[in-house]
Amino acid sequence: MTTPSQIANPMVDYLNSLRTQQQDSNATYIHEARHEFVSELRQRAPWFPDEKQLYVGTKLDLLAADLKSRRIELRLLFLTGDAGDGKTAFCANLARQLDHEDDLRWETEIGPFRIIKDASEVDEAILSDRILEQLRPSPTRTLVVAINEGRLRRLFRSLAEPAQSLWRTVVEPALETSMDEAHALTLGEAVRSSGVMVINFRHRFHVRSVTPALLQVWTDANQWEASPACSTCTEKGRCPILANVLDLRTTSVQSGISDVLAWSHFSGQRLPFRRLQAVLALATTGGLRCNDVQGDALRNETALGLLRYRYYHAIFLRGDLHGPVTVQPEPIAQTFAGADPGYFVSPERDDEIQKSFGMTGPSSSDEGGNASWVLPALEQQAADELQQQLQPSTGFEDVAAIQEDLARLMRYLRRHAQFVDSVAGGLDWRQSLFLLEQYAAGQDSERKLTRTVVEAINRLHRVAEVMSETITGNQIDPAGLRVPSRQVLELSFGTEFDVRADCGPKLPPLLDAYLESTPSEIYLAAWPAGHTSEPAKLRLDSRLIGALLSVLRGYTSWYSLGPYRRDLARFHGRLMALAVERGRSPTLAIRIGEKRYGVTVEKGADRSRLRFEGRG
Amino acid sequence: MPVVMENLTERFQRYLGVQQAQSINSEDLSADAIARLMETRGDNSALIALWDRSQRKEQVADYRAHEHEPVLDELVRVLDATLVVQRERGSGRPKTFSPLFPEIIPAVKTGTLYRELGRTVLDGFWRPTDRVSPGFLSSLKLLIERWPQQHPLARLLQPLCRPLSSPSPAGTGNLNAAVTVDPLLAGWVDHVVAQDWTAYLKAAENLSADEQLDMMNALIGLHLHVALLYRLRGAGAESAAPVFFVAAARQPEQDRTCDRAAYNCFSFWRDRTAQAMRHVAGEIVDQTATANEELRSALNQGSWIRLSSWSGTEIKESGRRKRATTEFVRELKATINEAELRTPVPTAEIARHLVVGALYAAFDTTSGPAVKAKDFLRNAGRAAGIVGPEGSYRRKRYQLEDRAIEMLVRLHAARPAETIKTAEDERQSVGAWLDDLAERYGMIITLERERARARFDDATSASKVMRALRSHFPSEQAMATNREFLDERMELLRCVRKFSDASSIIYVG
Repeated sequence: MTTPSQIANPMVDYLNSLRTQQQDSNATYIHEARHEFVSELRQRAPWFPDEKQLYVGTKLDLLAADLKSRRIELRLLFLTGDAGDGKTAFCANLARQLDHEDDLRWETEIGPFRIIKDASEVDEAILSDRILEQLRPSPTRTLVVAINEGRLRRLFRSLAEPAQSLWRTVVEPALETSMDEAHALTLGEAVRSSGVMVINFRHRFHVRSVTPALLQVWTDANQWEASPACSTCTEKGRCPILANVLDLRTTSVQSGISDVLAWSHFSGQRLPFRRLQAVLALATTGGLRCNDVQGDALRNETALGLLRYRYYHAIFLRGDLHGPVTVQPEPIAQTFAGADPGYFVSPERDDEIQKSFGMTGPSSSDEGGNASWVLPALEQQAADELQQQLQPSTGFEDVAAIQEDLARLMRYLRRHAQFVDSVAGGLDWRQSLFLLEQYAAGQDSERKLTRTVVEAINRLHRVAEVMSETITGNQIDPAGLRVPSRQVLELSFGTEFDVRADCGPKLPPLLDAYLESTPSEIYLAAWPAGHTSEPAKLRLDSRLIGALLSVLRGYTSWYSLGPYRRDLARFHGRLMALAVERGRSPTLAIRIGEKRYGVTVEKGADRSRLRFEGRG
Repeated sequence: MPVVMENLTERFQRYLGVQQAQSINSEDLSADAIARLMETRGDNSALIALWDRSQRKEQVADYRAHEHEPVLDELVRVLDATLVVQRERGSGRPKTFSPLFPEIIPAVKTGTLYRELGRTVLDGFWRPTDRVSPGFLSSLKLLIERWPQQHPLARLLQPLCRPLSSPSPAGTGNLNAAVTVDPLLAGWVDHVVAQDWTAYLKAAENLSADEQLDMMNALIGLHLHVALLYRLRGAGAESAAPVFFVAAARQPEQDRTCDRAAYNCFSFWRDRTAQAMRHVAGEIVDQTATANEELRSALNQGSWIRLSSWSGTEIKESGRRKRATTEFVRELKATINEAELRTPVPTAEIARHLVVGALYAAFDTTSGPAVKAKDFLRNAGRAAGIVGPEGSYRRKRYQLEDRAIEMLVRLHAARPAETIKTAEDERQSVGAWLDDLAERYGMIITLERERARARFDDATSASKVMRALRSHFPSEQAMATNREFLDERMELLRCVRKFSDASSIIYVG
């Protein structure tokens, strides 16, 4: 039972309201529903910050400001993206900047602006009229339309000229998944000359700036340990929420979480603002409410039991957490699995983690004096409880349960450790993220990404020496990646394959100023050496790079590549087709143990026969 | 001269639109279709000789046993694992191969090996596509001609197989016959099938030769399966397209509720083959009665003795044994004797029922056409990757294999937006894909989608028989779980990109 003196921290309620999967959710994660909810919280606790204080800025604020100040003159602005991207929030923000305090209607006219906050609420004929009106010479207003991509495409299919030329020059290029520099410049020119701009939220990559900013705002001490709610709470010493807040306030944890989210982005997923804040909110509260911590649900829970509500566990939660307090995961967490070290067992790394945290076995003489990092209180308490159970004097009543508890603690510590500076290195997913991000940022002058990928591919083709500049001309049959029995077939193309990395989308400077983005669609392009042609392309995402890094560490079994085997098979199949198109005639060899036999067909006048030639 | 009744097997196959209701591999279906399309088959005896230890040395230049035998063993092992489709029971020697080039498709014993099933594909699917999208057949030929260049084994083996011209004039296969009497099926072929094959050409562009062939096999299987469902929906349901529930969990034990529903749905359609055969038997009896005054009156005279005159009819069949005729006469006499004890005077309805029953029983054997049609339905579904699981001891159900998901996703991504049947703005969304699957093939993963629900209601209200399908579909909650399994698998297969929790977009790399 909650004692009368204990009050619930409104910040916890606020954060839980941002989760998309909360059981008793009131959908306040949707922008339009939030204002009223925040007002209610402020009535309950006047010290609770207002919306302005909770607001985290992005580059789009500059667009709103520039529109207001007429620094940028547009006749038409499309905001296109998916649910939760922030299209409506932008419209509301622009309206606020224009001193419009009321709620937006389906269409709102404010001075020189007409805002359609959600095109799906508008009849298509009216929408078409509005757009065509904007395409006439010297329209009187700027039309801002928030619209999803599918509807935008459909809308333009139904419009005649001059909309069609606008579609070709501005809208369609802006919707492209990947855009190179040259096309970006052309698009920039078209935007400038037409006065029509498309902000495509699918190009947005705001994880790196928004994650720390949100966590900074949400973990302000005045809302937590210094607040009237937490300062008087009797459970603050063992509160997982407060423990999360204290950790999430540190830059190393903020940056570690950004890394996980960025890794997900580079694996091909997208994190709209709503998804991002939902997952961060879940990490902060662990899915708990103050009542849960103060009440019977967790009162008698062991410290180890409380660790399941810690940020490092909550962020990787993929299935429902059952009891004592049920928590539903955020769907995006499925995509973090590859960055979850919980189930990745490496004795050396576990040893390093234990040493770093000053943890030793019961018989060790080392008292933990070499610890380079301090365990947070809850984790220390959990470790102490377990250590106590391991004392010979306690008699091991239930060995299996103790083993299970030890394994759980170790999983928690592995996760926690990856967010702590000194023990965070050495994981493939981090290295793959580093390679991709460096490249996308244009900071890969040594071509580390390309060389890593090429070396790993060559290693898969059983090239023993380091070969990282070109793809070998002696390859295993591409179909071997799909059908293992074909791996005894080897192809010799008589040429190696040149490579380069390509990436997109690169936004025109005009758009780049208003949208955080990074060219995270990255490809390895390859072609027969000496021939410039349409290359074979292999999409490089963070999961594939992780798998290729493990190949470089010696795990050369093609099975370990999982679903990427098909991608690699297609890539190599295309390389073969390119070589044949360029007049190369690949020869086939059968590998028997260490020996290879070239296989050809000798064509005779009456019949053809096979010819085998041993090759060492 | 005895009156001769039409053979039930032949008429039943024509009714179903199946060239021959036989167990067959999907690769052989494609092979026969490719041979007919390219008008080329081959003499592959030199290739088959590689499996014969006494003959294969003839196939190797400068043969040295100690050095070349291990290489031949390894080559044969690779071919066994990747190219051989049918093989002889005793020797294990190959009879048919994956059709990576037309010359590997044998020109001899084609009737036994391929059962003319390629005719269904060429005349029933590809030629209609070419009518709707002129140039399709030439593009398909070009695609097939490129396979040996992209496939190292095909490249190696092609010179070993001598090409033989094998012209195949356009004919009227059984599917075409079925299409002429079933306007809904005709519309499905002209729209869905034609759009699918046009999309196939585009989807195949980025695939390897192996994958192109696999996808072709799967798409042929899917079309044959759905076409057969159209024909099995039965009298009274002609205005509604068929539907079936498909389980999305990878393993049956992951979701027992949907497993049961998927099994029941498949059983429903499988059992419809027997009903269809009975229907066709009725048509033959009616046709015979119409043509013969004596037999017609025998049905209506209310006399057991007069009805016995039907036992003087013969069934058209090849061979001297006349097994079906003998069985028909025996069955008819036995049932008349039995019925006579219960009813002194047969009504016209009872009389017809007995004759039809006897004709049906004459063909209802363990290898009869109804059983073969069930096999055909299952094998076509398996080829498409929508019927499983593999293994003879496991009960079959509608389930989505990974390869089926990939094929359906790739086709969807390759379709022009205007051909996707959905109300969703985002044509490449998973929601739009599910709508399209329901509209195109009657494939239902969840009824949460409005389009799927409408298609389901339409089908299950068409006739009393079809209404029974309602009870085989799982509850809405179970179907929501089914959808979750699908989402999970699509993510694992990397067939989808999630731009938000509400926007899952089809992705094919």
